Amino acid sequence: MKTTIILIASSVFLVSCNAKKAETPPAANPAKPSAALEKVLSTVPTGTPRSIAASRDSLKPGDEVTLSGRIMGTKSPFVDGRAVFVLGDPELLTPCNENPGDNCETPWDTCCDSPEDKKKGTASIQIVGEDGRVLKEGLEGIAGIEKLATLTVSGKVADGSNPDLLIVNATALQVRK
Amino acid sequence: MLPFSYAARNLFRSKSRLFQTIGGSALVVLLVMSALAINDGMNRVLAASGSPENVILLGAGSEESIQRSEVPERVAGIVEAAVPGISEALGVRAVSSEIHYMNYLSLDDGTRAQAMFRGVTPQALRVHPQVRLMEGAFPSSGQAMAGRLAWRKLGVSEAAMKVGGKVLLDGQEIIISGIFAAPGTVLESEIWLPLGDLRVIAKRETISCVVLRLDDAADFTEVDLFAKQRLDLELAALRESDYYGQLSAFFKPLRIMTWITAGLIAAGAVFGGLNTLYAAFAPRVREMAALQAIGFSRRTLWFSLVQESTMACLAGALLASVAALVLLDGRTVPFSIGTFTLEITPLVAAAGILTGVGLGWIGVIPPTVRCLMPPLPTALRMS
Repeated sequence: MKTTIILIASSVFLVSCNAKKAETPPAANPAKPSAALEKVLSTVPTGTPRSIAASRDSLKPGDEVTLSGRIMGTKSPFVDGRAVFVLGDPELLTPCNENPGDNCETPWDTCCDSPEDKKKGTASIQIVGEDGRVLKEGLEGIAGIEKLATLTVSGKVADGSNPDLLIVNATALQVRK
Repeated sequence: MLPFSYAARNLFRSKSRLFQTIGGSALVVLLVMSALAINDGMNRVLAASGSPENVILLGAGSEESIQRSEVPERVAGIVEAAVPGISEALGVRAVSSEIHYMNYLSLDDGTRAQAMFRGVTPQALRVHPQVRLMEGAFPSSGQAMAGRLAWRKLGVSEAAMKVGGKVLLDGQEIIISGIFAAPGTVLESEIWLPLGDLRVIAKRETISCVVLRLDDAADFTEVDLFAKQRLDLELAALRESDYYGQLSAFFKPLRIMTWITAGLIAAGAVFGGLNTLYAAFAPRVREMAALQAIGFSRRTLWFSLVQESTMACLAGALLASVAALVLLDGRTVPFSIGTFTLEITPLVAAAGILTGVGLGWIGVIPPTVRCLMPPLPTALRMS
């Protein structure tokens, strides 16, 4: 009997108090994309895709450009409720989980790369409406747009861009499988 | 059913056993209440320290530590002009450039203690409206404003951090110009200096973060959008409440350790109590058997034992509750980023009572095993 009591009492103390929460799937956007967003998503990018790092010095506001890359370069590459994301240059940045022996939980933040490489290898991709403002709808989860997705974007270099800051107003976007 | 008075009178048959039961129960209940009060206090202070209307812009990649963060000083001006929805009063927008810095502070008597410093401008009072100057003045160059619990965090006497007092930071003499309160937050364990002074002392060319206050917490999106559109500034936007939420998660192992320590000591007390009770019920085996022989069922006798055990344990819980109110309630406990106050809230008190009741039920196991398990003929012959 004593043994039973000890076993029961021990089990009370040994029960794990850190039960892992069930993994939640990435947030999907339940609302139907607006016509403006639908148009960008259904248009196939044209031109030869260039890398972000190689092209940023030569681009000026108003230039047409086609970029390819992966959604990465920061811990949270999307903005809730806004059609914008951060595109990273895979020639310069590496998701941490692709480094041998690295089990990083947020590989899209490319935390193993230097801040200089991140600055050089990232661009803001946004989808703007007719008023020139960023659409008020999130992109994560729409048409395969998710963290670390590889995609090609065509668009126009936005006002305010310079060699240190590359913002592209996307007119065509395609996620590569 | 046996009368309640039977159980009550039995309590006093062995005063030493009663004393041990009450003492053991009081110890366990006090430990549970302490662990809960520590958890509750730490969570409460971290939750209250972060406002959902406040957004921290810090260096990308430094989301987990403001102190490591580096943000160009010009960011405050850019944010002020570019981000909509920032709270505004008398034409001034609530944007505060800050340096968060941890270092040792020395007192005249040679005491050296680690303190949390915040380099600020008067704008900080706009983004942290909970801060109230209680005494003295906002610091100018060569001065500092101490939170009213900074002395507790430093582990020095309250008098050491009074207005006019002198402290040494990195060899520089600083005069305490004022004392501020920020009830229930970690801010009131900090020491605030002028931003320029702390920049020199910390040998920084950048600031740690820009804190801005929004009229509507939902406008966080605008700040986040700004951070994503200005990748050249290398910023990450974080709700202040989320930042302190992360800190709360960071301190979780500490809280778990509190529970484990309390659990281990409590387990020792419980097992010791069970052992004592098991031995102490030996003389009552025949009494229980006699009661069964004259017609009382085992269930009735068991219920009487439950009453007896619960009464003793609840007396211990009462004792522990009084001790908790006297010894713990209102005490401030220092931890690495500030201090928190222990409070015996209704939840903590209820947990104490429930633990007492639970112990009462556990405490009935030894007498049940000792007195009611043996067959009646055997029990009647036991000495």
